[in-house]
Amino acid sequence: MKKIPKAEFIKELSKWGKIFFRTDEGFLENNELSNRRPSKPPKKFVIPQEEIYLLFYRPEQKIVQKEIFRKEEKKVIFGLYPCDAKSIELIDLNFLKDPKDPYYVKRRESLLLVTEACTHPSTHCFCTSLGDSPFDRRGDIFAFGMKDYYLAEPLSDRGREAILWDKFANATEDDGKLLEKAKKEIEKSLEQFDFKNIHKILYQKYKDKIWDELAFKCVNCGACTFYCPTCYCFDVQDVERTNWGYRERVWDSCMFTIYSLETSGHNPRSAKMTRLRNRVMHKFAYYQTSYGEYGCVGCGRCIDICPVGFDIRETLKTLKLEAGHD
Amino acid sequence: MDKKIIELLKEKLENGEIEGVLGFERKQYPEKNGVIFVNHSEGLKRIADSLFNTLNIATYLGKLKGKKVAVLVRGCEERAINMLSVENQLNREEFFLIGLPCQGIVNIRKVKSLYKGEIKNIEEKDRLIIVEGDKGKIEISVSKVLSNSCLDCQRPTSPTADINIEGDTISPDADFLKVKEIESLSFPDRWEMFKNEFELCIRCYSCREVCPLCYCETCFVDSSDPQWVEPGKDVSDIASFHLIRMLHMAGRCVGCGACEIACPEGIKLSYLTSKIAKDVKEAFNYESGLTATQKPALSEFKQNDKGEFIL
Repeated sequence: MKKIPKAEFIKELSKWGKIFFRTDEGFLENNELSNRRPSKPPKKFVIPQEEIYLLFYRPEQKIVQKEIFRKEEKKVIFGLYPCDAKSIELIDLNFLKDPKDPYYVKRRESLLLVTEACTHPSTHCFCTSLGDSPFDRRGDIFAFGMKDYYLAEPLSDRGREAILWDKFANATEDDGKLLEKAKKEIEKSLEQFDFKNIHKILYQKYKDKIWDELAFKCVNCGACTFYCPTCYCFDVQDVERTNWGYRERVWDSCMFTIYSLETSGHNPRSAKMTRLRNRVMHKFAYYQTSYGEYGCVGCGRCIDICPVGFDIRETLKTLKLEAGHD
Repeated sequence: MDKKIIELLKEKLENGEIEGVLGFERKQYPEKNGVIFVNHSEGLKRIADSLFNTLNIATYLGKLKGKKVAVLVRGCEERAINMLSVENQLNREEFFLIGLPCQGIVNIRKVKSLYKGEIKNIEEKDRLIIVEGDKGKIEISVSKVLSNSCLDCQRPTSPTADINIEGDTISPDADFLKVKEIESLSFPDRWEMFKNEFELCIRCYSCREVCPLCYCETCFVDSSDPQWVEPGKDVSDIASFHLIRMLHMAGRCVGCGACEIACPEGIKLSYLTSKIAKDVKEAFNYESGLTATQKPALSEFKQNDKGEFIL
């Protein structure tokens, strides 16, 4: 680990790309670092809400198609908390497996993720319940903010190449102790629920009547999915004009009725409860089955934003109790 | 909740007159009060009246079709139930409605803008809310943090509830003050203002889903054939969604303000809902949901209707 004066660290990183700082609202340019987990996740940097990728037009009788690759400028996402860094790694699992999504790959390569240890968890945070820590070393560079310095270390090739690490002093043993102490304190301050084996319970309880009760509150809007750092579902649409048009993908939400509506008119998830259940199952069971990781990082944004007070922690706790676990 | 009412509900539950009670569950900040359905008398104590019951309970009645239910309602909620009954979405007779004396709804965004720190706890006391957090303890008068829709509320008391609980209600003194202010703006300024609001929209449709009167099985915005509104972030599409929704709401919207508080981006939807309420009132001397038989303003023709907008 290196010990780097704060201003110098930012200066070095700005040579790599445009810096987006952690603010209360989201990740923005030219801003002071806030002390809170942003209300919006960094998802838009890897999956924009609207992305046009094909243009088609008809000069006379021919039809011409043209793929659009946007030029991605290099960006440094500065001060992501480890949960947000993990969320991007989880989306990677889906988009970077074969066949890779070329648009995603291009955008992902233009990002440098500089994670900062989370010293201000929010009231709805539950990352430790999923086996993660607010001090997890994730992203390209991990940093721990002290008064005038950052303790920082690279975690990937991109991180190693971003800064001339050799010109900075090594962190001392005392610095390391400080970090360990802070880590223990913050981890202790978080409420622990232990959801580590929740996928087994979910598969077991899939057909249970309890779901009707759990889903009663939910009105099936898409707020939780749009604020979720790991929800990546999109819808592909052709927008048509006279003699030309474009194909784009836009954020979609499994909460919407039309999400699973088939061309025949049949909707396998027509009941509101089934859509909520699918969301919970996808996060905590299907993702685990497919990739060996939960699709949730415990950031608590869905709880913050839900207009009807649906609490995913309560849901998982109730399911655990129903299955006979404490 | 009022002791007499609890006794009454207990009795009705035990003798089978009703199958359950629908109300709000009081939670401690930062958790939110949500709607619960209680079907045994033990659970009645979970139900509480609160300034933070920000949803319209009528939205949930569709989930209880066919059940005999007692519902605790405020003025706007009862009017929404009347409206749903007129439109044949439910049978008003199936419900036993208990009218609450409404003190209005607090918009938490307004509280957060007045308290410049991390809020840890919020208590309600008479017409005050007591906010505690890392910047100390402050008392805020409820009138300062009321939902915009409550400021324009004409009828806090349920017009046709089966019983009404006596008590103080909100007494708004503003009469579409904000709408009049917006109307006085020049057209470009007004467009600029609404454009800024609409640009915030992420199209999560929370506004639509919490609305008791947005019950269409397929919303026009979800239709892809014909595609009335295109997907994506273009402000013209977003404006189309909100404005067309408002046209569908004119003469039906009860002005509960659930949409504005539900919006995760804080879009001021009350500017639109108050405007349609004002227009409908001026054009037809009409308020929605006053009885379970009065048709929506735009579904009915009267000889003495003002025809000013007809060329």
